[in-house]
Amino acid sequence: MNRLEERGEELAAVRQDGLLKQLLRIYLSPPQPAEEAGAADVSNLTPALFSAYRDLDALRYDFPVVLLDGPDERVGVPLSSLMDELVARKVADGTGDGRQRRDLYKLERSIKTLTAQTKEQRLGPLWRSATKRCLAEIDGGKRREALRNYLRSARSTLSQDGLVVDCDEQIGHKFFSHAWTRIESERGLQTRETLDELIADLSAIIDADRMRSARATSSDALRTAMGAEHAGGIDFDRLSWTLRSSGHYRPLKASRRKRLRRVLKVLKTERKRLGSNAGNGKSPRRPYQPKNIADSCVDALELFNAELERAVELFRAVRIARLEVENRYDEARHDPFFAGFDQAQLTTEELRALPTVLVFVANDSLDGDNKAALIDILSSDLPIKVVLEFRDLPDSLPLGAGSVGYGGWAASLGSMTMGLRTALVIQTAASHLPRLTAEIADGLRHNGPALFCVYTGPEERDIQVSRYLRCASAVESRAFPCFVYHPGRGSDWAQRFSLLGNPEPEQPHPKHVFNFEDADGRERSEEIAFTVVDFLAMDTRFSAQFVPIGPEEWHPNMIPLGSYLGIEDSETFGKVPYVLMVDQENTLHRVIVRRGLVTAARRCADKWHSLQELGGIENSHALRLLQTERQRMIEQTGTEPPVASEPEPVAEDIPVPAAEPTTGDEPEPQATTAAGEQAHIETELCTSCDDCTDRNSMMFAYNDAKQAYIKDITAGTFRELVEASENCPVCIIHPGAPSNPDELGLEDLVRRASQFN
Amino acid sequence: MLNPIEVLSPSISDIEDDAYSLDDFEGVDSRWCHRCGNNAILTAAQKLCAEEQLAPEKTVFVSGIGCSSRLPHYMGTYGFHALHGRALPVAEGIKIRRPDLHVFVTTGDGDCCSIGAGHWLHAIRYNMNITVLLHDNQIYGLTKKQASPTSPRGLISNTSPHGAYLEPLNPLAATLGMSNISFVAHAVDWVPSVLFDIIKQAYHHRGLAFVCIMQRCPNYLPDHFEAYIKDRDRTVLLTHPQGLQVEEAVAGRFKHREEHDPRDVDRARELANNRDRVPLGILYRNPDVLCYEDVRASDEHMTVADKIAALEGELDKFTIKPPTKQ
Ligand SMILES: Cc1ncc(C[n+]2csc(CCOP(=O)(O)OP(=O)(O)O)c2C)c(N)n1
Ligand code: SF4
Ligand code: SF4
Ligand SMILES: [Mg+2]
Repeated sequence: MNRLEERGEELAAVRQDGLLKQLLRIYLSPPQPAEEAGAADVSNLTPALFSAYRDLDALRYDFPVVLLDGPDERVGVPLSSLMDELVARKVADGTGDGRQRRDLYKLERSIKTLTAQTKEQRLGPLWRSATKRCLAEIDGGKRREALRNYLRSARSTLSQDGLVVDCDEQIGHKFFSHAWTRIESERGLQTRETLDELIADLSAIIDADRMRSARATSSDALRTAMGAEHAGGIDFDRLSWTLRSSGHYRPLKASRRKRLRRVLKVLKTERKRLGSNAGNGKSPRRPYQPKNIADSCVDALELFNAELERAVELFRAVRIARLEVENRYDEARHDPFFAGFDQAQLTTEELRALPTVLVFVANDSLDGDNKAALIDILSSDLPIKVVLEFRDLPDSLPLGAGSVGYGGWAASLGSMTMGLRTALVIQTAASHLPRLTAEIADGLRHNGPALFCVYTGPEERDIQVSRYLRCASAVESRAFPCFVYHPGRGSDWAQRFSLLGNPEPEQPHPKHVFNFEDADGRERSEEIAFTVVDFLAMDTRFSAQFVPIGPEEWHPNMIPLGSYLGIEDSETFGKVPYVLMVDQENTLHRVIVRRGLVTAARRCADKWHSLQELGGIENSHALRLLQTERQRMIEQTGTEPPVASEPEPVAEDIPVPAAEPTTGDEPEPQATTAAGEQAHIETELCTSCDDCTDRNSMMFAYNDAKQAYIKDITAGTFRELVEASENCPVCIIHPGAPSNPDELGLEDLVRRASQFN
Repeated sequence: MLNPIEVLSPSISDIEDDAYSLDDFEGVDSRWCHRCGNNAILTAAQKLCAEEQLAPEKTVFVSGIGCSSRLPHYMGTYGFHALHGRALPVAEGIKIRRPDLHVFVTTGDGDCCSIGAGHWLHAIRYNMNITVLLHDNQIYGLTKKQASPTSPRGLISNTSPHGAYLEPLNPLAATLGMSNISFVAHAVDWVPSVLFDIIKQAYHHRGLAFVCIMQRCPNYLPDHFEAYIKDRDRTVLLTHPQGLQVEEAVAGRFKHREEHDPRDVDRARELANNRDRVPLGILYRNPDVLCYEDVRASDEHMTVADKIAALEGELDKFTIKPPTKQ
């Protein structure tokens, strides 16, 4: 039977099947206006995979985030991670037993609740308020006192502080302003040091000249300077003569003095802008506050141009100052050079020292001028950092009568910009900002333009779940995948591009196991793909695209959307895709997804696949080459070459909330080694000499008392452990036995270790 | 509507802000060599400040010149990095004028026992309420390995290429021989809990507490103290109900222990003179010795303006000021 005949038979079968016909009609037709009005049907349903995350309060996830002050290198860290670090330190120093850990996690939860209720606050006050709450729940005075002391000591162990922020509509703004301000301040500080040095050196030249001038060494001047009480005791004429006749003082040339003064003035003006950290009675502490933040690309360009003009002035002065300090300024040579000094003379180093500009734009405000300026920026080498915030993904917005349309080019700006090869690009949703903090900081430090595309989610009324989940699901569903493109990291895609932050990057969709009870009360589980359709199902503007079907109307031709997307177009005939959703009572429903959305899902999968190819996954060129080679081998040898085994998927954490950590008294995992011999440090004998902690700060750390312990045995090799033992000045690091039998040179290492065990 | 933070009772306000932690006492990053024994002394000092909750603005570390004398930079308190050998007189000046401050001195064997020896003698006699930490690495570290008065005989150094000629000066024995001593103790940098407890007791002693600390200089004398570190035979832990408070876990590691009454100056001198088995602990303590500031401190009150005027008056005597522009 050929394909046409087959299709004919299928068609006939469908025609005879009234129910299937009805289901197909639902699937294939766009929603009618009337249906749209009455589409409340699905608005109380949520995708099945979300049912576990309804009560975010009870879960721990990447928010709230603490926007850390220095000196912690990280610019932002989830509160939950900070608390985990704290717990680890407390456990290590023996003050983190089951109850104490429970107390700390309780406090964390309280801080989280307070963060959601109040406007932004720093960790310090939040910790205090949360402590009060926790104490208020306790009856016994003794226990309360103990808890108060414990939380106080925990707070001093956790030295960090910073603003605590939730995943709200301002998060993009808060996060980037904070990270940028910290990085800009570092840059400012470096410039400040240079300027301070030059100012001191130039002033010294001018002062020395003044101190030795005829005026300063006249007997009158000396008399005034030394004060009345020496009037009788010192012969000032003699002193003046002595000073004037000693040495070979030649006054500065007038032109040089004038030049020094002019340069000093420029340096001092610039220095003033950079603030001062230490205050004194006269001038209070005035930390450097970078100011170049714009809200349109046009303004950003203007700000940067102003910076450039100032830079020409400044670096002219800096270069003259350097020559002057070394006494190498030669007027005949240098005057003409500096007269013609302009932007073109600025070196890369100097450009790197320039303040950068941060600009926030929303994707829906990219009008003509702004758009042009954005493209100018991204194709230039100016250090302008653009944060492009997406409240909606135009690709998937409903067009007209509830159908889904395309044409939003802005959502693809991230991918498009990579084509320019000049700008650094990071794309992520707000939920994933904490995971990409290090990359973002790198991007802000990058010496050139950067584009940060951040999905922050639509207005609250349009979505049924929290903003955090909304954003996390944009990444999870591949509607807004994360990626990093860093043009400074090498010359090829493998070095420049990464799909960091995405769950299961090798797969078209991440899959999750969903457990449920069927109508007969039997436990069942099903693997469900998380697609863009699940993402859109939480958006009330798409309600009309979903039609729930009661169990009496279920048909064998209904197939889960994940599987539906996996089959060829030609094979989909007569099949109806559905997604699983649950209502408030946790009852499971099958919901038909209309064709418009399925097309959107295919399109989204296609875009994701292109990104995968860039990331070296399922790369079509490589696959084709492999096929050709395979063919060639078969022809040459007559045998089939062995098939390479599937690579292990790269484990990427999915940033969906985790359940509260267990706070019971279960034993902590120990740093055990294969032979059962434990690596350890006699912490109480540590002399805090920094040797092991400098060697590998992930493996060795100091406790509250600044004495070393093994923080993470897996964070380094056995070799490092043995070398640390050998170098510890008081021989208190005992390396135990190796845990990785494949480590190189193990025999020798074990022998060396034996002296310290 | 009230902000929920505001409705909470103020009974336990600011609980963590009024507590200093170890970090509060950290100054700039240290420039000492890797594994230098000075680190242990620094940590003990920071720990003391944190444990005693000393207000950083009320605490001052005074030093002379030397590696050890860089310690004030690494503390988050006030500090005075003075001239070579002159830490003690500067500290005395501070103490007499500002008896409300906690004054510490960190000094090296060169700084204290060589160029500063004269001041050392008198500081002991003055018995002002100051804690003195002598970092005795038996070498000049900062100036790159010259013999110091405490270098053992035969030690090869840049100034004694054929070995040091004389028997070393023993700072413990010397101090115990001076007049008006009130607190003398001996510590080693490689047993941190003992070091800490000695420094703590020194801090609590009213009068001049002199703590001599054997300090490793791995850079110039890598194995110099190895014999003491490895051979437990070579130290004796001094215990007494009024002496050290060290946990049994640490005390138990010492082969030799002696119950020594810190009032017994004769035994203290015997112990101090035994270089084959160095004592670890409090050799001498007498809280009843008169402190110089108790009889000499002025109770004259000066306002900030008075102080500035006085200072400027002093400085004007020495400044050659060019006339200001008319
Ligand atoms: C008046 C004066 N003389 C000499 C020196 C040179 N100098 C600097 S440090 C030092 C010796 C330091 O030895 P020590 O006090 O033991 O300190 P360490 O570096 O060993 O800690 C000398 C001689 C000086 N700075 N000032
Ligand atoms: S090397 Fe030894 S003494 Fe130094 S910090 Fe590490 S454990 Fe402590
Ligand atoms: S030279 Fe010696 S005393 Fe000085 S810092 Fe280096 S190791 Fe320490
Ligand atoms: Mg020395």
